[in-house]
Amino acid sequence: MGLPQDLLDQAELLTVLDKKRPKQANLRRAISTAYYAVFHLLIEDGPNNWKVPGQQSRFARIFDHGRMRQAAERIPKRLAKPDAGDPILKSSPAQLDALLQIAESFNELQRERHRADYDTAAQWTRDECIEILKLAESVFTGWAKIRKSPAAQEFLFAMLSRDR
Amino acid sequence: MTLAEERAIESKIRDIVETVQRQNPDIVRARFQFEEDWTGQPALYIRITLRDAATRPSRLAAVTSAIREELRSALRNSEIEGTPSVRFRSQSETLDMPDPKWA
Repeated sequence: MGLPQDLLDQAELLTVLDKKRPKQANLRRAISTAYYAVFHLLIEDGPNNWKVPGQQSRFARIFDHGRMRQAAERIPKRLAKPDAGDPILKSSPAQLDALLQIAESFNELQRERHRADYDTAAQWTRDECIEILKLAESVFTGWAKIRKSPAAQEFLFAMLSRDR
Repeated sequence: MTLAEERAIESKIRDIVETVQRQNPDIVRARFQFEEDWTGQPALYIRITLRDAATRPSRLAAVTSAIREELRSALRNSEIEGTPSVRFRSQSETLDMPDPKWA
């Protein structure tokens, strides 16, 4: 199962915890947890490419939410107006399409996680929350298909660097 | 950005949202507005109210992923930058929890 899937399962449990009107605190934690499920899904694959086992957990801590957002925001632009030498283009059109969906969903989930954690005026409904979890699930499905592709590897690298 | 440019973008977004609504009988209402995100940047929020039948567990993911992709794709094709946040509620939820942003 692993931590990412466990977090996603936990988020689902939080949405159905209250039988009648759901507590906002549970919905907020569900949204935040769904984002962290996706965050861990992605950062888990970064260290997997690093060959020194003792350094893998330290490697995972290099990932930063802000830089990950910037890398994800750049994906639509990189695909709309690609540079000829962009390594992301070594992937198939289907893989690039999946990456686009993942990057856009990552941004959406991160934005919602910040609202859930810090915007005290915001409120959610149960269906709204379940739908956000479905968005997180779609990232899991898409990532499973492309995680070993050049596009996914380049995306992970871009999340660590300042220049892409 | 000038006021005229802002209005042009808003007009494009309105066209896109209205077109998607017209093409999807599951949509009761669609609203959009710009809000500041956690980085201080304007973020486009599109709030879609769905017929209750469309939010059944067996349909929810298929309905919402199709609508979200239609919106994302149309916005990209119009060269409107930034990923929209597309939120969905059922019609009964919007009646149960009134909110001007969803009205």
